[in-house]
Amino acid sequence: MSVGHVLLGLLADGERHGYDLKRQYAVRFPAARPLAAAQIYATLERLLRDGFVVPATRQRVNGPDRTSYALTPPGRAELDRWLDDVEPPGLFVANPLAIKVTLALLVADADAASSYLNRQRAAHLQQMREHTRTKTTPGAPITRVLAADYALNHLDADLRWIDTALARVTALAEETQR
Amino acid sequence: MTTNPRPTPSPNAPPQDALLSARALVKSYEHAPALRGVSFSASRGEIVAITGPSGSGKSTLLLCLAGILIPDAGEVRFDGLRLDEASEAERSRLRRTSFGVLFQFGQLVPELSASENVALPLLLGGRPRRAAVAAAGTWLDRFGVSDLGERRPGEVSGGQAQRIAMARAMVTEPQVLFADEPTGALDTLAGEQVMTQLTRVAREAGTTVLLVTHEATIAAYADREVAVRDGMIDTDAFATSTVAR
Amino acid sequence: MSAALAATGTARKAAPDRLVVARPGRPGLVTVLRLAAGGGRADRVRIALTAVGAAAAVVALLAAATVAATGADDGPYTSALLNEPGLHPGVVAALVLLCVPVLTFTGQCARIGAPARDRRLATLRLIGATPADVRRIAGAETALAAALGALAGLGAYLLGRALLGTPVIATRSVQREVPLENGDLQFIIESVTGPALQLPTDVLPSWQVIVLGVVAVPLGAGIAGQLALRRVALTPFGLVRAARVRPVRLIPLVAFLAGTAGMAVFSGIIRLLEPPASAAPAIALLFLLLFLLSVTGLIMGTAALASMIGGIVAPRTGRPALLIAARRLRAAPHDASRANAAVLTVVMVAAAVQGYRENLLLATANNTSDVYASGTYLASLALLIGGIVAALGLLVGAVESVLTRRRTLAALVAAGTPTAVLRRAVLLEVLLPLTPAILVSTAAGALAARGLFGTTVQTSGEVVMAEGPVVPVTMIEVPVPWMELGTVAGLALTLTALLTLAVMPLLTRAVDATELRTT
Repeated sequence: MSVGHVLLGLLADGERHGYDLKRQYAVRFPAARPLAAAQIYATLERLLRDGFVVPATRQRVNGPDRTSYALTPPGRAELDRWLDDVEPPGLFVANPLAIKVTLALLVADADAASSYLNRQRAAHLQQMREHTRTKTTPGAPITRVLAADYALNHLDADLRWIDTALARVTALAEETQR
Repeated sequence: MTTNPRPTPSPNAPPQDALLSARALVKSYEHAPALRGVSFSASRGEIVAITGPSGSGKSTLLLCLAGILIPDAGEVRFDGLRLDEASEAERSRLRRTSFGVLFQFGQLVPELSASENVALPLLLGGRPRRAAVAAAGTWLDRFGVSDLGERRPGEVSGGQAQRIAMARAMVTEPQVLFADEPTGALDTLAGEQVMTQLTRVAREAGTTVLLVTHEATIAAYADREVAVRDGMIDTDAFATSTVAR
Repeated sequence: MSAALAATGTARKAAPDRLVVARPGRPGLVTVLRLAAGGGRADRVRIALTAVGAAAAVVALLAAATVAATGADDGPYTSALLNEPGLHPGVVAALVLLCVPVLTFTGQCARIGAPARDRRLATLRLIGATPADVRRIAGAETALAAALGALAGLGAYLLGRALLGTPVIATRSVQREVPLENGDLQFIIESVTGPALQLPTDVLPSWQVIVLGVVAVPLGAGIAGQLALRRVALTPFGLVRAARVRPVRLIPLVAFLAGTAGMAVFSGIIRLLEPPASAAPAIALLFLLLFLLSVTGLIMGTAALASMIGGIVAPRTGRPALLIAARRLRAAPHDASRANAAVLTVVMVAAAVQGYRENLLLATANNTSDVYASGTYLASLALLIGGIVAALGLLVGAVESVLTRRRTLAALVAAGTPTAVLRRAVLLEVLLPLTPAILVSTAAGALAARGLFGTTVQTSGEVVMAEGPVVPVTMIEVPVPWMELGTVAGLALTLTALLTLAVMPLLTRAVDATELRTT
């Protein structure tokens, strides 16, 4: 997936200018890191060069030019092709938690690693509580519920790893004590 | 490096607030130890998740706290009353009036209608049939299953059956609700519906909820978590930060 | 486990040094014995009950054979039932009929769920046995236990013959026929005192008959066991009662009412119609048909009765025990119906016997012989025993009702239902359909007797004592034997209640909180 594809998708229901795209992105994907304006304009340039978008109307609203961009037929085709494609599951998954635990075991000892894992567990659970509260608020829009579900599932996966890691580290500590 | 303030280790509520508490509980099943010295407390209106892997003793802890099982050693207090020393008749009466219980499955009488199932605790308390069924109707409505009043438990889905069971657990307006893996037999969405309604109704009524589960996504519905491992409270795995409501 | 099964099936074919692919053959005798004998206390109790039932059946059958083999020149005996060959068929029939409830109960024992036995059967399913195989094994267990019991019964019979064979000095009545000058026969009753045997221990049936009797019982028990397991699904997860809902029909109740009404007015209508004497066999057949109609309707209508009572009571009650019992009757009316039917049949026949006895006593009031009175007394005794056995079948039903629902019941106790309420519910579940049914059966039996034998009786005026006047013929109104009928109904109800109470300790253990542990 690339930012380009997302922008193509956001342009599918009509032309938009850059700032509008930034705002729409934030509304539709509240859980994602916000896009920087520079990144959006750079991506739009690339899409323009590839022929997937064309500049549409030029507005002059009390300030600099605001160019609206619209989807071209090739752009629409590329969007459809990408939507059809399956996302390759991540082969390399960067796990900052695992990195920290490994380092803790190297630098300190099993106790330090356990302590870290426990505190990390508490933080994860706290985050899960907040996501749960978000999604069960009456009237929550489905986009928010979906985003919360996704976060919850991943936090749960992390939590399972933490529990397993705790068990392994504890077993390791018991072994080295013998 | 971010400083995470180390929460004070305490799987229990402050003593003066405790509505339900246990001290040094020990319980074994035919020489297999289930609880090996567990202390716990919960205050009024709290929702506490009791988590742990299978066989950790969390169900046993719940049953002891509810007065369904008598521990081999230790004490259980509810609102000042010693549960572990009370007679079966007293504990049965308590479970009828001040406690509500919710299990994974198999708790509704399959021959009775949903309405009669929910009314049963009231009938046991001597309320006349018409009044009991009317009260049952109100509670079925609160859980969104009022149209299922005349159906049998075997004729409704798992999620609907659990909501009927929740209505029965709450019909006597108990002070504490004990739930043992209430979503265990349900799919994700049905389970979410059950948990959402359970926490909403409990918060509205100020009911304390003790929720046994092995799933973190269910434990996330509670205010705090108490982890049980191998018959003891895992004091390292505390999570005491409560969310402001 | 699979190795044992395979080994017994292919042992004869396998060469010891060759690797044989295991064929899941029919489990051999040794395996079945091992499966039957292993198990806990509940299994041993069930096997013991089966053996005792089989022993009783064998004793009854051998006693029947002995009586049948007794001729006019055997004896003499203290009881006229044994002395008069004409009465033997009745005695034999009664003894053989006694076996039916005994064998039914023995077969029911195949159903008594014991957790260890259920687990064994489920394991067999898991390793590939078909339900038919498993049913055969369960039937074999019953048959083997019954075989043990049959041998014990044979031993008891032979022992009884040896021990009870000493004659006693007793006075007995003997009837003699004396032809009169005008060609009529006159009955003279004489009292004779002398040595007599209490039981026909001087007669031994032929060995073929003995063997037949001893073999027939385990065979019958095995078949009864198979029949009892017919509707029980034997899944790899354990024994599960078939959830198939059989519709409850009202027609049997209608048949029962029609048959009973027909019997009640029978003799009155016959008298009005004044049929010729040659129509007697047809009349007897008609009455028999009415009787069968009534009894069949009763047997098949017990489920309808239970369902109706449950449906009437349940929506109107706020008492928890009654509500639970009534709803259970409505939801599962067929469960107890077989045992109910047995009890009700016994009650109906017993009531009819009391009615007959009343007639008989009046008709033979001038006889000093106690033939008839002792005959009906013995018949009542036999019915009492049959009734106890039938009621034991009710116990099986109550046990099953508790065991299949134990998780729900345990959850109810956890939710604060007092155990006393559940105990009352079990008791009500048994008594609620039975109480009106017993009263109705008693009435039906009494009506049948009055219908057949008439409400008035001619006292026999032909008995002439050695010297004395001829007693004139008179018509006497036969009173309704209220006391005896009340005893029949009361005994049936009391027995039922007492046996149901015997289930209570099981209930207390079944709702123990350990049923509730999920993790």
